[in-house]
Amino acid sequence: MYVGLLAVNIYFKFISINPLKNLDTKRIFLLLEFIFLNYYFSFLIKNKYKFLVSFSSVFLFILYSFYDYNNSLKGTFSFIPLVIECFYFLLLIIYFFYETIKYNISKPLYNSTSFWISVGFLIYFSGNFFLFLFSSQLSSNPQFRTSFTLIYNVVTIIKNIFLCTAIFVNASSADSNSKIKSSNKIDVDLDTFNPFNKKTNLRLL
Amino acid sequence: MIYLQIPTNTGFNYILLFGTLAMVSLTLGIVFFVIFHQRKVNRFNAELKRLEDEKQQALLNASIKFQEEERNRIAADLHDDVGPQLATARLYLNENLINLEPAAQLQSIFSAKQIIDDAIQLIRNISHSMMPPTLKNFGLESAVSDLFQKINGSGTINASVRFHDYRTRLKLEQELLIFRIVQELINNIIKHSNAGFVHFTQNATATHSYFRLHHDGNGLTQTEFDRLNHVSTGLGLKNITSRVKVLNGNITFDIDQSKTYYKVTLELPKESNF
Repeated sequence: MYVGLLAVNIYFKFISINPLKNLDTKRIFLLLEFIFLNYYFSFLIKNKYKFLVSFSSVFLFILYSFYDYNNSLKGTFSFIPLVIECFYFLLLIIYFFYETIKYNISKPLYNSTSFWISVGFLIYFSGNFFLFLFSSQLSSNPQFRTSFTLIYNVVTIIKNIFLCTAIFVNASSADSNSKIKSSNKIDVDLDTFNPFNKKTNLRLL
Repeated sequence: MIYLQIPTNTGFNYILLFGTLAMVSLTLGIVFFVIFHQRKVNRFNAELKRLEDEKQQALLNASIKFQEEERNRIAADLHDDVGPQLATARLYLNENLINLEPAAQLQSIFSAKQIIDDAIQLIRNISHSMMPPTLKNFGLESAVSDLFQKINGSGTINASVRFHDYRTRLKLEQELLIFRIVQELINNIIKHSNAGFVHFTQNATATHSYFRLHHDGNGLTQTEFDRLNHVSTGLGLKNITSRVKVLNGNITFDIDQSKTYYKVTLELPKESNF
């Protein structure tokens, strides 16, 4: 999922040269990001209304994005959908943590991939929340633009570090699972196990 | 290098920076809270499981010990009572019997018959102590009534029984377990409580059966029962607990509001997977 988003991001950063076209691609990226992240978190959350909330939020978000696209000035990028996205995912991730506390799992939280992905996005959205909120000053205030670039990049790096951690955690847990599976293959039937019959034992093992 | 280019004299940048830092700190706080809370809950669950395992182990030990004691008692009864009697009977019926006078022969045979009858009675008593015949043939109501009648007959304690709703009998194994619990409770009341009266009542709802003992002696409350169950080396209370557990039931000990009598209530589900 994230690879797809990354591809779209690379496309509009390096390939698309037209600045106006670039802004439109940013809007498409935002929509895709919202849909994919919503899809991912709706599978993590256990609430019975999760799909209803997920579909309705995606529908409303798309609707608002179109409304915003039609009503915002040409050549400018409205950050209101971004603020809405930030706020929505902050709430969603906090709710996911609440559920994790409620339905206590025996496995430590930091051993699951979903935890690290959630932490990464939680930091990303909380770190960028104020930036997006005051983003109307981006074109007029050069000092703000510098701060924006600094904070946005730092927060994005932190998010990517957490996403990398999630990949490592996933790899190590997959490795330990395969070890458990391979150890489970040794199936000695104690009822028919005969210490003096090597043939039977070999067949059993 | 970018950091050096940021103008530090603008309030807006400070607000932005501190606002962002505050948001990130808040979210990190939430993350740490979630991690530590989960660890705390897991530790608590592990401790709870350990205590539960310990309790299970204690109950298992008590049950094994009880079985061993029961076997020893039966073995002692057979060895000390039945064994000598049969050996005596054998002495009467030895090879020299044919050399005796007919009258002496008759006397020997009569004595041997008398001893064998006593041995049969002894074996019957042992058997009855394992499974009371009244309980087997007529059910819990009759067995408890019989027990209470015997207690009443002693004259030291006034015992009465009332079954309100016992139209359909429980399984024999369940009845035996309930009977043993009642026996143990009565035994404790007689031994420790100095009670003047003891009253047994049975009642039922659509889903549960209730058996209650009232007495006016020195009884136990739930806290004391739980404490003694863990601390005491005696087997009685542990056996009660393990039997209640086998029945999937619940036992409560409490004192009446007027503080005049104690109540022990045994609650059992009717649809037990026993």
